[in-house]
Amino acid sequence: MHTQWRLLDLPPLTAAENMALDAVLVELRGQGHSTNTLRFLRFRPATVLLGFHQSVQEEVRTDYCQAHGIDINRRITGGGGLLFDESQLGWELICDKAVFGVTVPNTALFRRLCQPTIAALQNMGVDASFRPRNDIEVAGRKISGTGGTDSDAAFLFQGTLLMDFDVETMLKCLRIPVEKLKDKEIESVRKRVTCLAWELGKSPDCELVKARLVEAFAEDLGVDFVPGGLTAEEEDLLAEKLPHFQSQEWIDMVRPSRSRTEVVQAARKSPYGLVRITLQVDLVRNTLKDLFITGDFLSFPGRALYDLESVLRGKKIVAEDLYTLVRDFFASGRIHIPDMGPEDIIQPLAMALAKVDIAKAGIPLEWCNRINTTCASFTEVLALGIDALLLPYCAKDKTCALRHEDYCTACGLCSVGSAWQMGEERGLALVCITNFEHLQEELVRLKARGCRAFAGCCCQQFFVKHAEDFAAIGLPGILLDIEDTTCYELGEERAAYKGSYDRQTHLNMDLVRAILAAADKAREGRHGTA
Amino acid sequence: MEILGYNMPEDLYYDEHHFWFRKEGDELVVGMDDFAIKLAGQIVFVQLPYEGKAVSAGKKFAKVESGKWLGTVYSPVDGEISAVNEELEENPELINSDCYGQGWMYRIKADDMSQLDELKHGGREVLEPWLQEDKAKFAKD
Repeated sequence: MHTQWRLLDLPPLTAAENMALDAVLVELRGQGHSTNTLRFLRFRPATVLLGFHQSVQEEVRTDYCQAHGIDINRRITGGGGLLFDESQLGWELICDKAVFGVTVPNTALFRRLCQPTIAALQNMGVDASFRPRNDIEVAGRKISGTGGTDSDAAFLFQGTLLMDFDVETMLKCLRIPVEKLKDKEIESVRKRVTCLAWELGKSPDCELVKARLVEAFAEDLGVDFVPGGLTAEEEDLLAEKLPHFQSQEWIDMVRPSRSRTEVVQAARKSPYGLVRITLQVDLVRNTLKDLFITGDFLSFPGRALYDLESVLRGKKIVAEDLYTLVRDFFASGRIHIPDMGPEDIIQPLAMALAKVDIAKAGIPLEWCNRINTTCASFTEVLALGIDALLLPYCAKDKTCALRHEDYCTACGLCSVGSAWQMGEERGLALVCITNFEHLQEELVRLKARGCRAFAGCCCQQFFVKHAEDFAAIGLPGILLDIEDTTCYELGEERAAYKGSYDRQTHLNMDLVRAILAAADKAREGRHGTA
Repeated sequence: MEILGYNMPEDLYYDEHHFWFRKEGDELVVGMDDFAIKLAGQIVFVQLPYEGKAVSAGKKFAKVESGKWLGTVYSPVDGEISAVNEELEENPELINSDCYGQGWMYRIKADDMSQLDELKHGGREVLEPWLQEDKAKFAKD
């Protein structure tokens, strides 16, 4: 005769009701009341559920959620935010710690708790497997996550199973940095997860999925499940706790005093493809909250890139440690990218990390993605000292007689003149660049004349295309992005290359001012300590 | 003192969840022990209660997150929180790097230190059998 556990399968509840009930069940079980329980959870309305220590302001697009009737609440367990819409299914075990013979869960227990879900999925024909430390995947794509907590003598373990997946809504509810990603890359983000509907090719029957899970848990735990409802004690405590879980105080429990999450991005083009690195950074804790490695290259096996992301996710931002992780990952043979090696990932990663340094130098991060550096980090360029300012002809007035000359009279009719004047005030060497060969000549000449470092304005596309050329010349510099339609966006880069692009771009003067101010400050610092 | 590969200072008191307690006057300093850290991996969050919060012996008063596990901290004594390690808000990894030093978590002003008698305390002869037992339980992976 097997031990009997309760099977608690209530109709869909609000997030506050579900969270309050979690707290009630584990608390009472921890005091030796009630019985061991397998519970299924559904949510109505759809809810963005944060991990215990996450903050709404950092993780959730509250305006979108409010406008679309999506609840926001917080779990009593750890982990990250997720959208629990009405099609999702959650399971929970609330049981005596003695069932597993430990007071704190270890790696083996996390793995074991994933097994019933894996078995149920396999039973439905989905080739699911365990992904350390507590997730379930299908061919490298996450389909289920688990987590838990405890209270006195009881554990609460929980898992979600993605039945169907509304990628668009999820991206709109959560502050995942998709606005920085191109469409093709959003598609690749989509490939990092999967759901039962995609795996089965049709919407799964929720009752059938529950039945499979019940069978699998019964076999794994060696118990029988008996459907049951809440005890009177649980009902009473639920009524008592519910207001707290409905309160703004609970939902806003975590409110960081300053914004801590920022997104930086860098891309590097090699003959074999473009590698783009998007980092979501916790500036306060100096950790990589999340990252996406995307681009137009192929990597094998299909899951390799997502595994590499997992290796880096959550790590402290210590550049050399991160590079070592990338190199070790390649060395272990877990990834193969034709004609590319670890350095092809490390270089754009280093460029992205340089932007984190820019933020630390006091430049607003929203501008960091518009700043690139060559031959040295941002901090190093400032420390060397900026001696020259290079400005592009395409930002000059279209009717200016000097549009294709290498100088400017700062007449004030275009942004080049304004920047030119700021450069003159600081005694910088000033050049208007008229085509790519001219740029190369000027950089070589400046370097030969002892210029320590330069600042320049050019579009991102120009920099990505010529990053290697800049590096080959070897003069450290900071490149600032420009405004308005560039020749690249119009497919007119050939004309621009020759110096005959006939539209006008504009320098981002706020950015130019900020960089020159940072350079002034660095100069004062140098003189101050000299 | 090194026991079975874990650093377990002899002067501390330990609870069954592997939190340590050090007597300093009428205060207790609280942290996670080496065994717990090796089990938990990287600590990502420590809940810091407000100073003055009342605590009771055997009752939980804070949460610690590692991976997706949200663990619980219990007080061994009646008293109140007299200080929390604010550094942990931005740098919870201090617990991983220096669990008995910079990674301290809380100070509790204890009403009655004799409540500590319930905890594990002493030399190798006390701690080793306990660790041996826990190691056997947990080291299944």
